[in-house]
Amino acid sequence: MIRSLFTTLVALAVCAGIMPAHAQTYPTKPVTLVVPFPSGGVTDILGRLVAERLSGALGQKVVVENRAGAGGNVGMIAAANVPADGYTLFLGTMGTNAINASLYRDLPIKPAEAFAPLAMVATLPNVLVVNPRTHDIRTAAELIAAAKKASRPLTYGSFGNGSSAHISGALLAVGGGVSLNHVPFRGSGPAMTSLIGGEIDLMFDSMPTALPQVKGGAVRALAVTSANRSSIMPDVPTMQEAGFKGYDLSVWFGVFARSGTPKPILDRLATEIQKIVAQPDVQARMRSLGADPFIVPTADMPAFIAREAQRWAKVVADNRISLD
Amino acid sequence: MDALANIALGFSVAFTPANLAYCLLGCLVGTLIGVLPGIGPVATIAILLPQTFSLAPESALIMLAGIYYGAQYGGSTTAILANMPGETSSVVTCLDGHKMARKGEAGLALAVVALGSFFAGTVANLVVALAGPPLSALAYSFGQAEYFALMTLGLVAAVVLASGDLVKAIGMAMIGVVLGLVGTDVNTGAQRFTFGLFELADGIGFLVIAMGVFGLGEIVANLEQGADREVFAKAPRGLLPPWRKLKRAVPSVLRGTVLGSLLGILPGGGAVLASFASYMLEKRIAKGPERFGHGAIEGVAAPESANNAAAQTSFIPLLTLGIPPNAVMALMVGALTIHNIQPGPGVMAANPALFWGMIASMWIGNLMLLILNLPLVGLWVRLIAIPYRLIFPAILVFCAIGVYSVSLSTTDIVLTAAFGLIGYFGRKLECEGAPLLLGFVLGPMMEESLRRAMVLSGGDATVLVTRPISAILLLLALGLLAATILPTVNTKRRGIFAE
Repeated sequence: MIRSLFTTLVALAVCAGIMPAHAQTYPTKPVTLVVPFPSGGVTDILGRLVAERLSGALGQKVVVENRAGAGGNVGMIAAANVPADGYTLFLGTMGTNAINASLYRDLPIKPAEAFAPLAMVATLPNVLVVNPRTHDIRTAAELIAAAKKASRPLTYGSFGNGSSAHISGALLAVGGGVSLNHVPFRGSGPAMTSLIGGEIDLMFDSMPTALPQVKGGAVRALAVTSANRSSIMPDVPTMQEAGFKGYDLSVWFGVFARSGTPKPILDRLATEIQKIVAQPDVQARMRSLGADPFIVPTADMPAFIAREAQRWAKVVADNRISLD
Repeated sequence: MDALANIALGFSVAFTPANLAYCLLGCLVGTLIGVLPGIGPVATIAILLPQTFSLAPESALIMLAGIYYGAQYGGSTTAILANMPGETSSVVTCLDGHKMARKGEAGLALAVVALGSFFAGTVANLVVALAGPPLSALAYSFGQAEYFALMTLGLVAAVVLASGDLVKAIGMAMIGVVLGLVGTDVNTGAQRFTFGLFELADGIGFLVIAMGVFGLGEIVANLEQGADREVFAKAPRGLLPPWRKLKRAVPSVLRGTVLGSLLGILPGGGAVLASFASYMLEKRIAKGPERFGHGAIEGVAAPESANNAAAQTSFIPLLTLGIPPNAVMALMVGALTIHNIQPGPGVMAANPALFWGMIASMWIGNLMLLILNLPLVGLWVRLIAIPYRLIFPAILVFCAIGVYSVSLSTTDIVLTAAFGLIGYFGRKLECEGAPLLLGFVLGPMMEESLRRAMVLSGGDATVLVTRPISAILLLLALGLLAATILPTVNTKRRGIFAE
């Protein structure tokens, strides 16, 4: 009894001795930020922006590691199977941390349990675009009217099953009370080519890829999917303004650590990343990409993500979107 | 005159010492990774992309572009000397290029590749500079039905260009198609043949199959007949090819250039299709088509010119429309975005220095590659004189590194080994790897575009024949198939009547 008490005391003392030291000395080696999408994409660029600033703040190099595949699952699973020591961080998205669990039944981890959220980074709305040469349509309402009149369902392109573009289109069909045919492509580029070539009727494209085509006049932007107008296209109304009640979709990006990471380390990382996202030049950089900075207190993140996961689970189930 | 002013502006950008240095660096790195089996431009550019943060955007793009077309040059070297395609577009080069090397004509093959590529690169570069914007409209006239027809033509070509047994070629192409279907079905989201492995959800990588079937298969087969191999290695003749030999390749280079420049503009498999299509064209019109697959110089000259031309013109959709036609170009978009440049229809007007500077640098880069590669031919040829027992472990290691570097996945290395076995047994059964690889690349694209075409037409299959481009391509495929099958059928019938 005494012996075991002694052991416990020693253990506690050791822990007490280590824990603060841990937070004070962390990090003693380079930190990895797992980005679950290939380099060159928006997720990657956001990740590298955070990594660069975080390197400065932590005094240790933060290295971006691109682990792409299976809609971000490959990277997410890799980042969940590491020691909970704060040396491997994960750049999660709405897709990986709120949608994939409903899309992939075989997902071996529960993102909400596997990760501790640190900070949100940015949000990215989709933009509803049409080809002005095939459809002289100026508003989302006109689009719905055209869809109702058409002899065949209008078609919308997306960058894959279960992608935010697919879900945006499904929400449009439900909200407008019309049926639309989904045409998935491998990535945004081919879908945009098909829209400009006059094959598909409309598409919800991601802001960064839509922006140059809208500016160049190849496609016309009818609405953005976020609840508030985007600072990048302030003249384009939101879907809510266009009459779609409750329509609100923004792809968000946040930084996560393995759950079970010592609290002092989590706090340190959360504080630093929150500070980085608030820096004006970082925000300017995000806007130049087409993204809006997104600041959410760390304590509010779990509830926010849970709400998102619940919403998308319903949309995924109602529209029978599946990936297995 | 406008064009001249633009080209002058381009050269003024490209000729700064710094940009010349980045161009040279890119070409060197590109050649190196092209020569090393397994390590391709996609992985290299992905790794180097963040390092270009601090460069001026022109310099960054000039260097990255250099890596891309440098790798096309380097890749053919490995294809010829070691029968290993580092890139999809050098699969065809293996067919005759490696046979030439075995006949002791490695120097000739390499020289033809360098000269042909330079010529094709120059022409394609002019095409980009003078006709880029109007040509980009071509990409828009290709809808889903046209893609389906083009892929069908490509698959038929894959079977036809195989030098061995027709039935075996069809079989290998089919296996390739099935392998290509592994992964998430883009249309329904269903997981096909993934066995619950998320590593397979995006399909099997091209490099995994190419390195396995060609690379490892070749190594095992070589080790088996060690003695023969040494003989072949000791006989590199013809280091400086005489003009009378080169002359034979000239018409092939010209045809390859035209075909490559056109097909390179198409999104997707442009460069791949270009090299296969030009090989097939050469085989069709050549005197003595039976030489193909046994070291025909035309079979090296045409596809290599075509893939280099296609590599250049594939910049057209990116630079004029802002739409990346392949994985490397998608990375270029990333490079532009990092530098705060929105790639798109406006890039030419907004950043003329970048646009024209890059075009000028591509020509300079091609010239550098020629100067780099011609003297290197001698060095490369001597490389195969190194005893095989010393060189094959190195090749194996580079294969493994290359495959791993694409997605940091050990599963890919294991898969490569498995495909090595398949490649080896294929060789034993005289089943060629080329149709398998082409089926692997084209099959899924064909399926996807067919299904998209059906969704778009509301299930009406007649779109495939009522749209003119699609109808012509399908007719070509049919004609080609008939031309290949009929002689065989005729021989058989004659055989029956004889009895």
